[in-house]
Amino acid sequence: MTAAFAAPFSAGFNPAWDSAKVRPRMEDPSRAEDNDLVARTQAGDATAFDRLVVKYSPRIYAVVYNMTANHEDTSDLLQDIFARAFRAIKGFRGKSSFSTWLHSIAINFTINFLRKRGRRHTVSLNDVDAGIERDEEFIEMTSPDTPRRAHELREIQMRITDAMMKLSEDHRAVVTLHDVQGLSHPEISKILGISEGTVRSRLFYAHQKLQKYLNDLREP
Amino acid sequence: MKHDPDSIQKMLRLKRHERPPEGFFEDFLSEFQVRQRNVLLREPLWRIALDRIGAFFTTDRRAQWAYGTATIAVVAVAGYSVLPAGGPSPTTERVVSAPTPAAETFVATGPSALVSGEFAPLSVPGAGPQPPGDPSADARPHYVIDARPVSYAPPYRF
Repeated sequence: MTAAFAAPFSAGFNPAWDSAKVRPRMEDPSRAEDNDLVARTQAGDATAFDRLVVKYSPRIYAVVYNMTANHEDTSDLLQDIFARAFRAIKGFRGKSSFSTWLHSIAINFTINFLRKRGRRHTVSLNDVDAGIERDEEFIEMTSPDTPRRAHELREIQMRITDAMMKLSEDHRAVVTLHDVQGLSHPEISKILGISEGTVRSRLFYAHQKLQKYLNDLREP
Repeated sequence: MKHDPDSIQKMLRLKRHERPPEGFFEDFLSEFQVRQRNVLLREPLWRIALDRIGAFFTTDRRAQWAYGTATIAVVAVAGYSVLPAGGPSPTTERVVSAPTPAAETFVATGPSALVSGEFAPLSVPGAGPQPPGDPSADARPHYVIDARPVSYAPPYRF
């Protein structure tokens, strides 16, 4: 009896792993809410799509702004991205999350816009929220004097933005999604339609480039 | 140059604090709705219809199958109703199989025939027996005047 009980374990049976397979995975509440809003939009409820716009516009704004570095371009692109999403939502099957799908539309739209626009661009710096005052990295980089800190903040923003704009659109996209948005490699690979290996290699190359551009910011 | 991704990532994370001007997102939704309405007003009707049809057939495959089957059924019923019941029509058969009526040759029965219009059918040697009166051969007889008119006949004989 002991041998019979031990046999599954000795054969490589892992109760923790197999029980996870058997137990249904709890759906992310945010994803469940998105699925509900998408279903209602597809059924003809336009107010459901309005809620999706309100929920995702800050996030998509950040993605697009970090790609374009221009507030006016970002504002126009944001309108086009949500208009495109509204027209295409009937064909959304739910194979990926709505967030991934929307990010994918945003990145494709923005990259197409940047390639048509070419290298010419004007950088417009956004405001920063009060949370930056508590950011350790920011505190480390700037002086304790508040007026000087504000000046240094603008300078840091400008330098980082300029360095990002020197990257190609593809490298800028992975840096924006990973370092600024905090998305994981698998999520980025789904959004961009590339392998995780390609995501990692692009990130490595982009970080090397940015290191070169921003090296003097780290010097004492 | 030593690559230090950690410090670069820390610097890049500062960009998370960047925000658009105050009130941007409050106005964004209403501007989006106004823009959508303007686009719909400017869009031609055929394009809106095309979008709707495309969206309809990409949402639910069951609808595709149902409408495809219904279309085939409608075409089949329409085709069957065009075809007549019981085979081809009798008029068609008559038209197809009616033989060409035999040409009957008529000659003047006498000098006065041309004046009075009396003509009799001419039996041409070698032509074979004339077919009996065929009820289907209602075509008008074809008149072939072989005999020379009286006026052309020489008034004298040697």
